[in-house]
Order: sequence, then C-alpha cells, then structure tokens
Amino acid sequence: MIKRWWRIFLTTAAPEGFVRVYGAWVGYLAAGGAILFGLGALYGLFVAPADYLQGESYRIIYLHVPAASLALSCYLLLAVLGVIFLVWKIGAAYELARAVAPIGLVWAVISLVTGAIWGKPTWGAYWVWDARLTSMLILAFLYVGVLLLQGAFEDSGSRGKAAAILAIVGTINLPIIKYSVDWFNTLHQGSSLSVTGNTSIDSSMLWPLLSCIAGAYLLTMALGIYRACTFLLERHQNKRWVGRYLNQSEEV
Amino acid sequence: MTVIDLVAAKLTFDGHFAYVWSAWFIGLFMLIGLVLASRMKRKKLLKQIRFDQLINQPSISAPQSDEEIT
Repeated sequence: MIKRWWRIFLTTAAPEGFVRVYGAWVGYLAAGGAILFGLGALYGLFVAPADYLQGESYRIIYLHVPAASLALSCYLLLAVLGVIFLVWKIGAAYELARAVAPIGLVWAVISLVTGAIWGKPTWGAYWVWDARLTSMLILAFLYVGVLLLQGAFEDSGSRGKAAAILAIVGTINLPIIKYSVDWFNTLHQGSSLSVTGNTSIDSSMLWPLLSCIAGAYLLTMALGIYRACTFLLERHQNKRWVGRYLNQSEEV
Repeated sequence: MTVIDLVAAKLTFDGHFAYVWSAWFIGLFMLIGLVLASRMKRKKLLKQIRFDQLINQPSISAPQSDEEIT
C-alpha cells in the first residue's frame, strides 16, 4: 500500500506526471469550489439571520474567515514545499510554491481588508495594532518576502533555496496568529469555529460558512495546480513531452 | 410591504450595505483579477510554445539549383 502511494507520488513529482495527472483535476475542483462557495455566499448574504450583536455587518465573515484560513494554510503549504525542495530537490515543489505564494498573498490581503471594513461598524475603527491584526499583517509581509526571493537570483536553485528558507522560518508566525486571541488581550474576538466540537455559531450561520470555506479551499487548489502547470510548461517548453501534451490537449 | 421593498431591505443590510458590499466587491475583485492574470499568462505561454513548434518543425526546403529540379 505504502509502496503504491510512493510510486504515485514519484510519478506526479516528475513535471510531466504532475501536469498530466493534477492538470486533469483543475476543471472539477474549480466547478465544485465555485458551486460550494457560491451557494454558501448567497445563503450567508441573503438567507441566514442577522447576528444579535453585530447586526447585518457580520455577513462579511463569509469571505473574511475563508480568506484568513487559506492565508494560513497556503503559508503552511509553502513551508512544506520548501522542505520538499530543500531535501529532495524536486523542481515541481518549487514551481508549486511559486504558484501558491501569490494566491496566499491575495487571501491574506483580502483577510486584512475585509477585517478592516468589518472593524469599522463593530469596533469603531478600521485598524488597531491588535495582536491578531498585526501578526496577520506580518504574514502578508512574509508572503511579499517569499515572492521577492522567488524572483531575486539568476540561478533558479538559489531562488528556490532562499524562498524555501524564509517560508520555513516564517512558520513561527502561524501559531502566533492562531493563538494570539488566547495569549494576548486583543480586540479581535476569540475563535468561534473548532474542530474539537466547541463551536459557538448557530447552525443557520455555520453551514453557509463551512460551505464557503470548503469552496474557497477547492478554488485555491484548482488555481494553484493551474498556475503550477503553467510554470512547469514554461520551464520545460523545449522538452518533447510538452509538445506531446499540447498536441493531445485541446486547450487554446 | 411590496416585493421591491423586501428586496431593497435585503440589499441595504439594515444600513450596513456600504461595509458589506465594499468588502465583498474588493475581495472578489482581487480573486477574479488573480484568476484572469493566471489565465492570460497561460494563454500567452501556450501561444508562444505552439509558435516555436511551428517554426522549428522540419519543412520541405526549396531546391537550391537547376540540377536538383531535374
């Protein structure tokens, strides 16, 4: 069983295998993600009841929470890919990291912007130097750093190494973001969602939120794979398999 | 209360419409922008690769002298 999975991993770690196997999933992932996210957003915006304390402005969470969750997850993925690249020197890991970094940055910026807009009617201010907000801003800067390093050197090996090291070192910020509301006296509310079961949201608000989160994850996977395939095709454009792949695929 | 009043009440979010709509608009604008940028990059790349393949493929060359014609 383990041998079988290892063989699949090795096949898809090669550029051609990655483009052929994962590239075929993009359409399904994008369609599933769009349906889940769209349904969750429509239900959250127009059907779910207003919050008893925050009123109607709470409906921003249907975008804010998936964005914040994905900003953290994409960074964690960058670090894992960094380890894979440093240890096994797998080029597909570097190309996937290049593909994921801008997506994570966009989610982090969306999380910051929507949080600021939500903060005005709720706290009376767009921005406060609160532990959660500040650590999230640092995450956005870390993404910018990784992106700059990915384009900094002539040699792609040095670029990959430098970006991977920053991504790995930056993971120290992830538990700070996650637990900042518990460790510090913050204005940001505590976590309302919990995997262990202590969720404090009513089910009429919870299900559309979970649908939005699941949809956003699927859309991110689709976009990440799509971008990684583009980078792999660009890097290996002189190889024969690229020509064969393009001849077989009907993509324009 | 007419249907239009009900729809208007929903869309205005009890006076919070500026916050709710601006947050969603900015968020979706950034996401769609990233998707379109990725799509454009891919299209440009595929077009260039197909062009290079067309240039590099072996073609029938014109005869260089009269002898070759005969």
